[in-house]
Parts: sequence; structure tokens; C-alpha cells
Amino acid sequence: MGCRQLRKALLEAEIKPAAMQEHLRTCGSCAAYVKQWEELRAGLRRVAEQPPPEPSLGFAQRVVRKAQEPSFAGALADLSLVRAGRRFVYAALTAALLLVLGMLVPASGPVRSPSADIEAAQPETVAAQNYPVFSGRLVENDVEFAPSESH
Amino acid sequence: MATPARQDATEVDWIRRTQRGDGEAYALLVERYQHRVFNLVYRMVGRREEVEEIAQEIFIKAYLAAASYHFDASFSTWLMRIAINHCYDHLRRRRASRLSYFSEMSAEGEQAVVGTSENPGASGDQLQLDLQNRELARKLLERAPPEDRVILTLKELEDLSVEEIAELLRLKTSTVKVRLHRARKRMLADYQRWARR
Repeated sequence: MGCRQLRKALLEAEIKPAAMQEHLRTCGSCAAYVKQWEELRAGLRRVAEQPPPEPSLGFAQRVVRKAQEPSFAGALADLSLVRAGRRFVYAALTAALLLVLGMLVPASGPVRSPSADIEAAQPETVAAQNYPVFSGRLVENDVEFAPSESH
Repeated sequence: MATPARQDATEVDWIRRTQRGDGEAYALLVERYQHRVFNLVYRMVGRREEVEEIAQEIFIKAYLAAASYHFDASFSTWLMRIAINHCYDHLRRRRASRLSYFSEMSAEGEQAVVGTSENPGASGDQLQLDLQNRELARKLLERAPPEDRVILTLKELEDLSVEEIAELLRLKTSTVKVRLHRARKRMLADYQRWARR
């Protein structure tokens, strides 16, 4: 077990397996590390032992009285309105963002459909071969559109 | 609506009445949970004089949000979540204002010396050492980032299991373990810096 492994195990598992003890016998730095961790935990345990303050007399009734004050009910209503307004703004922003992305992605995205590439390349290819872009020949040779040849 | 789990019929009745705006029923719930909330708040914020005010805010928040409680977790868990979030916000605000708090801790330290000096079982040196160690641990908790403080409080002071913390914080247990490890590591590094002084 190396120093890093031991320190990780110490802070995660809080146990001292035999391998850990073996390492500590030969590594003064880790022994000091473990000692400091134990001191710190002892201090934290001492903190945990301190009793919390007690609620003063009539605490529950005061809470209820305050919670039922109109100002609190109003504050809650305001809060609901603010939240509803915020939700509307978020929804509008998301919709706007999606719209912008929808307009941008097909033109500039890294992935495009093969047909888009073919369509984009076709005019240049066809022009280079001196073919008209929409040649009537392509339609004339098509089997489906030439019923007279198939019979 | 989900079946109320781990709650007795009386408590369910108090909750349903609270949801209909019955203040008397809510007072009974507050009385049942006030010590637990005070304890948690004290561990989280560490300042005695702030505890009651913060606890009051938590219970008011819970009352105003009672309608959103759907019995999918126990009322205790639901309330503790509100308390943790409220304390977290409080710690963040306090951290932003960068107030120093070391003077009161020293005063509490003195009180502890008076209290523990009546204990005949331990030597004075050991008591002094324990006290210094406790005050240092408190200082370090005070200095810790709010995220670290929440998780360290739940684990080291409240002694909750990783699973219980995960349920309260609505995190995976693996996430809790990672955060706990980081928080402990940072706190120990801070301890080493202070201990060298």
C-alpha cells in the first residue's frame, strides 16, 4: 500500500486494515498524517458533544402566529408569482435558443445528410460535364415515366 | 397520493390538518420536531444566538410549503431537507459577508474550561489539549466552504450514514462519498496549516 492509497483509504473508509498498519510502521510521514486526522476527528467529536440551545417557551406558538401573518402569506404569493414569471422567461429563452439552433445546425453542423451533400455538389459536377442541371434526358430514360418502352 | 411511510396516524392527521391551514395542528408538529431542528441548525451554523431565529424561519418556510408535501418521504426527512437548504443559504450569505467569529468561540472555550475543570477524572493538560482541539475543529468548520460544512456536519457531528446523507441531500451514495472525501481532505489540510502555528 502506497502513501496516496493509504491516505485515500483513511479519509474514505475510516478503518485501519493490516496493510495500513504495515505501511505506518515504515512511513513516518503517513503516521503523522493519520495522527493529525485522528486529532481532528477527536476535536469534531468534542464539538458534537456540545448541547444545542433549547427552544424558548412558546416557540411553536410564535412560529404559527408568524406564519399566519398576512405579510407571510403575501410574501408566499409574491414568491409564487416571481417563480411563475421566472419559469415563463426560462421557457421563452429555451424556445428562442432551440429556434436559433434549429436554423444554424443544418447549414453549419459537422453532420449533414448525404443527400444534402449530393445536392450541394451536383450543380458543379453536372456543370463540369456540360450537362444541363435539370436535363430532360434523365426523366425520359426513367422506366416509370416511359410506359411506352416497357410494353 | 403515496402512502404515508414511517409515520404514525396522529402525525399524518396533523400534517393533513396543517395542509388545510390549521395552525394548532402545525404547532404540534413544531413541538415534535423543534429539538431536532435546533440541533441540526446549531451544528450547521455553530452560533447559539442565531439558532432560534433560523429555526423559526425554517418552520415558517415548512408551514408555507406544507401543501407541496406529498408523503413520498417521511415528514421528518422533508423538514430536514428544508432545514439543510436554509442553513446552506445562511452559510453562503454569511460567507459572502465575511464576518469573523473567533471572539465568541474563545468565550465558549472559557466556559468549557470552567465546566470541565469540575471533572475529577481527567488531567488538566489533557483537558486543555481537548479544549484547544475542539476550538480548532470549530474554527475549521467555520472556515470551511458551505458545501463542505453541510456534508461534514451531517457525517462528523450528526453521525449519519452515507446512505442517510444521500437521502437527505437527494444524491447518489457514490457522490456523497466523493464529496465527503474531498471535504475531509480539505479540512485536514487546513488543520495541518493551523496546527503548525
